[in-house]
Amino acid sequence: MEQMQWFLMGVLFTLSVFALAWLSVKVRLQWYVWAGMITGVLLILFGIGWAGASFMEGISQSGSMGLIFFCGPGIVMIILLWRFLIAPEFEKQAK
Amino acid sequence: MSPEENIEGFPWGRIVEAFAWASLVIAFVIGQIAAQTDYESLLIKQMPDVEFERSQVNRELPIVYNIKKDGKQLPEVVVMSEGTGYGGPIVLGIKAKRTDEGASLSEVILLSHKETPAFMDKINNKQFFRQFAGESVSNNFIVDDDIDAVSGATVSSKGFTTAVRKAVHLGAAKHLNLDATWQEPRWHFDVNEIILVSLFVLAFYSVYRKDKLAKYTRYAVMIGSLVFVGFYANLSINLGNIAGIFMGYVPTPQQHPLWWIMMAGALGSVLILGRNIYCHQICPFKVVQDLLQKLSGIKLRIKPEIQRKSRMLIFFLSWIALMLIFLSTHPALGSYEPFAMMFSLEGLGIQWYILPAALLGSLFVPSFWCRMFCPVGLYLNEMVRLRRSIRDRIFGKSKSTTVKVDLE
Repeated sequence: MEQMQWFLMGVLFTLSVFALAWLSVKVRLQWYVWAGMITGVLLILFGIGWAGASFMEGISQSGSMGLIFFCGPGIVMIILLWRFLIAPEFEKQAK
Repeated sequence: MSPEENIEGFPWGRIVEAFAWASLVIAFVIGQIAAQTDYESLLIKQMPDVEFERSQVNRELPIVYNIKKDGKQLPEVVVMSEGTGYGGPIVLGIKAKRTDEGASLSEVILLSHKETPAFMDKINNKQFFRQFAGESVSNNFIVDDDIDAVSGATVSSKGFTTAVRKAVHLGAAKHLNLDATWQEPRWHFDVNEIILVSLFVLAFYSVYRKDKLAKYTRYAVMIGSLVFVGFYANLSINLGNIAGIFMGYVPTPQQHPLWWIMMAGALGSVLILGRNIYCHQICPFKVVQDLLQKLSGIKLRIKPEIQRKSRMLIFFLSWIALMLIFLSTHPALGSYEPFAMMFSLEGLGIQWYILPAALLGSLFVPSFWCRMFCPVGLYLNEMVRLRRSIRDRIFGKSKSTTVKVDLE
């Protein structure tokens, strides 16, 4: 089960790198946007890893808190960056 | 004719509905029969090394058991006591012995309870019952007077203390013929009760008025309910509360006045005004979801078909939860809502899986939990519909019949 978790984490990490690589091809962004996006992705991956390990160990409270306190801010960070910095940049560069 | 009847030509929907109701009634009856209190077996379970014999001298309430060890009668007796805690009925065994002044308590033993495990952990960790040892039966036994409540489990503390007080004072008066020198607890309207009543009043105002002030009032109620109803008092209504009412697990107004105000406000607004004020204005979890929704700005639409199916999912989940509650006669066991986890970080197994799903879901779908999973919201809205249809039958259909009751 532990090996499976590491495998899935690897898959998710690879997908995240692909997603960020796609973004870098599509739009030119400031360094701080990249820093925010990478932090957000890492927070989400860390939260998933934390929660997966906790749920497997049967400590559901820790897993839940991991998802809320790591994945939650990660998702919020990515959404806010997308709404206010990335999406406008897409529109600007499309023109 | 329902869709099921059209498709199959057979009223499957009605049969499933009838089965659900019948099974709930049966589970309720079985639970009530199985929950009959057998004092002696409860005592033996807690103290297996001694024998118990019901006192023939003290025939009046409270019930008293003599304790025997190796055939010899011990100086202590056990006075049985029943009361209501936060989750339901509690049974206590109060060990007492005669003294020159009358009698004193040696130990209070919790024999049976329906409290939420997280609250019981607090009670046990703080060794709440230890403070009763050595106290005279003539003491007041009033929380915040001569008894200290456990922070975060105040209602349970009050319930246990009330149960001890009633049994001990009754025994002191009837069995020991002592004069009532103790004080009775007084009911007082605290600042907490004023805040909750104010929240409901402001919520009513913001619903019925359309001016600018009503808009600001609505924001004030949102913040107030999040801070007070959510984080401070953790008063969210859950399925266990509603099931508890059916099982008669209702705290006294003295013990938990906020519960009465909350229920009167939530159910009263539905029954009297025909509006679901609780879900729209007071529920702190709704406020959390709205804030997350504002933050993300993403509003994924749920197809009406999925919305209809989610209704069936809520009915199914709440049926399972109610079956568990009625069979176990333990309201905390069936409540799957994540409110207590959100606001006081207390919960059991599956509830911890639900909380992140509900919060993350509400980032993308407005009122995700309310629409997809919340049984309280569904039942309150159903009550609004039922009230409206009854009113329409009696007074004829009014123009305002098609008022929205969904949570959008």
